Amino acid sequence: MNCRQTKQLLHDFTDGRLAESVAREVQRHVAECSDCRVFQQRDRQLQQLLAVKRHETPGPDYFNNFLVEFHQRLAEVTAPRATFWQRLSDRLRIEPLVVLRSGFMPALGAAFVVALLLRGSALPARVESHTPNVAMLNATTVSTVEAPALLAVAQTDFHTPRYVLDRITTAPASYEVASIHF
Amino acid sequence: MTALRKLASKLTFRPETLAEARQAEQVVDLAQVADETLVARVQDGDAGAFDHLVERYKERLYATVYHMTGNHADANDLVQDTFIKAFTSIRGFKRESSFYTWIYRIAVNRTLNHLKRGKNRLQFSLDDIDSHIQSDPDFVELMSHVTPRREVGLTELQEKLNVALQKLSEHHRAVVVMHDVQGLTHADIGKALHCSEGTVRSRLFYARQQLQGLLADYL
Repeated sequence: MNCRQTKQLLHDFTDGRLAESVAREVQRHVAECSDCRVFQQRDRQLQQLLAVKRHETPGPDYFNNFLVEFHQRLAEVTAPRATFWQRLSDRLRIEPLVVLRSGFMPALGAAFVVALLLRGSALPARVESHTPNVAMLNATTVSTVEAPALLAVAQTDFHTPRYVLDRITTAPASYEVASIHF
Repeated sequence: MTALRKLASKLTFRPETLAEARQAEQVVDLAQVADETLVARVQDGDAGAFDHLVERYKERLYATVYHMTGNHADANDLVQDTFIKAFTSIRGFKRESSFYTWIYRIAVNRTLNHLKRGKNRLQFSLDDIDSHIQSDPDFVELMSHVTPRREVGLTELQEKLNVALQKLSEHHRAVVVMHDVQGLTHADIGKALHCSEGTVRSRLFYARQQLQGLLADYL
């Protein structure tokens, strides 16, 4: 048995955890090798020094609030996580819309509904034209600036009634054409 | 008539008293029941049973983590995290090992990860030394020799030990703490660290060699 092997077994030898034959070999080597004897002695003293660690305690009141703290932390961990929109609104310190609190898809749906409503309000109350192009002429007011463009569109549309074209054509240039309804 | 009233009041059934008595009885029982029973109750949805496991093991887990980190705040945070992790994943605990082995493994792994990430607070906050140290034969023998350790106070010795331990690698420190401080067997350490007994012995050997060098003035 060499020094390295002996040193690795010394601790178990001291604790009496080695088989009898192995222990005898270690004992023989230590008796003959001063280096290993010093190592054994220092190892023993190290264990004595580490005894200090075994007696460290955190004080009598240290764990008084441990369980309460555990419940608080557990509640934080198990609470439902904030969505992206909630975190964003929290960071920006803005009060989010109610729909945004529910997540992205409801928000998108709500935005779509709002867009539809806005588009609906922009359209005239009565849309009875034959084609989309003519529907533009149903606008309550057509400005003089827009009139030439509308005329061009209407002229290319085969469904535009003749009297519409006449009214646009004859519209005075200085003021707005009022309410072309048909 | 009065006597009859008194008798009637004594015989009156008070359900709240009975409930309190049953609750008290349950508390006493739960504090004494085996880990397996408590774990089964938690797995069946009785979250309150987990409190008894926390009470039972908080100090032992704290000691392990404290020796590895060297300060109170980290030790407290890591032990809290360990219990939270154990609670949230207890349904996956198949009871192949004891609850303590399982939660001990969680604590050690979380502490090692914490140390590897370098998040450990650099300053030490030392625990007190209990009065039993004066009757510890190792300590008595330690102080009986004429060496520099006799000149330094206990707190300084404690500090030197902590500094030396923190200079070891995380895995070397873990085996020293688990074996030389807490007295776990090589086999138990191997299970906790997912390595063989041979690896544990080898790490212990190198760790002790390093500690001998670091604490040469006190040996």
